[in-house]
Amino acid sequence: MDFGIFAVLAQDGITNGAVYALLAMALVLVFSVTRIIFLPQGEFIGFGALTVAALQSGQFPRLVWMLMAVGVLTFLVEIGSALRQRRYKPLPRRHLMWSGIENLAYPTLVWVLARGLEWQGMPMVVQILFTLGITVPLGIMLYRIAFQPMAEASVLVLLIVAVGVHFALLGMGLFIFGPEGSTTQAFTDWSAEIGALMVSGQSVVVLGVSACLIALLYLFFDRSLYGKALRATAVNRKGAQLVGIGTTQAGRMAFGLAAALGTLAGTLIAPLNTVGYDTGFVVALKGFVAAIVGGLASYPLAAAGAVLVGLLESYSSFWASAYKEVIVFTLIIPVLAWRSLVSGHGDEE
Amino acid sequence: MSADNTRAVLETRNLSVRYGKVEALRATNLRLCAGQIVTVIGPNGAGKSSLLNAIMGALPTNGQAEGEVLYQGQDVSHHAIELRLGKGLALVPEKRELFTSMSVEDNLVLGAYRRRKAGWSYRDGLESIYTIFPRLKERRHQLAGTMSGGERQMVAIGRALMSDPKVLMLDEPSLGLAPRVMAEVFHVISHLRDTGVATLLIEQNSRAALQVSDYGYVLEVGDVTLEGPAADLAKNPKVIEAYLGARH
Repeated sequence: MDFGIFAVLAQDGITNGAVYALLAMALVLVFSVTRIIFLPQGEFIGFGALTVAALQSGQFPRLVWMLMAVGVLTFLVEIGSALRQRRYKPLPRRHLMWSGIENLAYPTLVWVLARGLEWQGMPMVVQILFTLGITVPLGIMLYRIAFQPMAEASVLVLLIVAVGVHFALLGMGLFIFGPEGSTTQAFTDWSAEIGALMVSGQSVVVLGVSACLIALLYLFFDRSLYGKALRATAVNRKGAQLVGIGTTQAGRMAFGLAAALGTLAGTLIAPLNTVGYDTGFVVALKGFVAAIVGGLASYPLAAAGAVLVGLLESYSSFWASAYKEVIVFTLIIPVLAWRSLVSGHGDEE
Repeated sequence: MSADNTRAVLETRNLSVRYGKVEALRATNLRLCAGQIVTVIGPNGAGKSSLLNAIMGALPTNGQAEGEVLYQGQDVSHHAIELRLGKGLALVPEKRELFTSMSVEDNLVLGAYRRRKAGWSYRDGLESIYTIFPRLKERRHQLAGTMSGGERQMVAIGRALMSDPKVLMLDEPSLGLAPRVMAEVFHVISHLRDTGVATLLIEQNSRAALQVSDYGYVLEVGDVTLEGPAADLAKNPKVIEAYLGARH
């Protein structure tokens, strides 16, 4: 292997690692705030990429149907829980009204926008923002339906629910998107030659966007009150409840952010890879390996782990292409062994 | 005792707590008026922490409260913690439950999470907390988890005060503190009276608690067995024998 190939592989690995880093951050975020291992993360990759692809090819983004359906379901769940509590308190009219706006009116508005506007040919940034406008509420609704009623359950129960949600979303994804994958337009066809290395504009965009998002996340957690509230929930749930940071509110924020990060990861890989409804799962699993390196708790370690996973994948696809997934996922064994040596017994309840 | 002719800021009526089939607290009636310090003393497992958690709405999920919690005459017993906090109840829990990996100042700022109104800045709140606990100002950038026990208790009390409570509930504030630090904490508690905050204090250290309090209740195995002005309780032979330790 000469330096040229080495550099190309490194570029590839770091670019993919940047995407895994976004996914790993989302997994760490959701786990530390809600104790849920967010398995459905991968679906947001596929759904996001397919929605952007649909917008670009002038088709109706069918994810809107799913948003409307899940919205109706969420609203029914809200009404059900309000009725069940009517022994103790009057019907929370305001709450139900907000829920109606959020789960019925908003999806309808999105449908009108999707139908009414000519999305083909719009700047890609606008298309991605519109896609986020579909996936983020979807993430929040998922939390309401599947996880909020059992927020105090054990990590294992929550994991099993997450597996269930993953399969449900996968089924719905197959139903609305069909089995074919698509790609989106390239961000840019710019490229530069630095010595022997061809730097593709795509890699630069992926790295730049990922770095910006990670910096934004850092600022959010370090400076903003909401970010601090999420961290506080992760550090001490009882303490967070006592200062009025509701478990529900924190869970909604975490799921909304995770959905956004998953969607962005999907749109970042879509120009180079054919993304289908089920592509995201394996990608998200690599993010999961990276998150495990960070012990599902440390953001910087998770990001470092993501780059490690990306590089490992890239070099193993050169030397042992058939085994590249095996090699990447085998990484989890030494990492777990090392972590269990270093951290001793965790405080799993 | 003036509690009967002034309006109570906090009152419980037949408040009971059960965990499954185990009854931790039976039909407790308790009154607290503005600017008053009321203490509940009693042995371990008498239901003291359950009482505070039930008033705050912070019982663990297997705990079930019955009866009424009246805050300024309004029944809040079915309100979520956030709502009770917004109205003016605050609890400093026995384990303090600090955000250990965050700075002291962040802990305090988060105490005001529910107190965001126009024209109020958390800077003002911080200043008033730093006036009460000057040491927290020196250490405001230190991680809460690296503080000493007494300082952590100050952070916990400061965090609760940041929500601008009318009723502050303290669960065993002296637990695990050195005597000198304990005296400091009680000194602060006795001065909260001047700010108009009503304090409901639960203590193992009955002697210190009765010294700073106006009124006291004795809770034993889920029942209030004695109540009266703190000074009277401190002289009551039964209380002396059981909780203050006879001096020979």
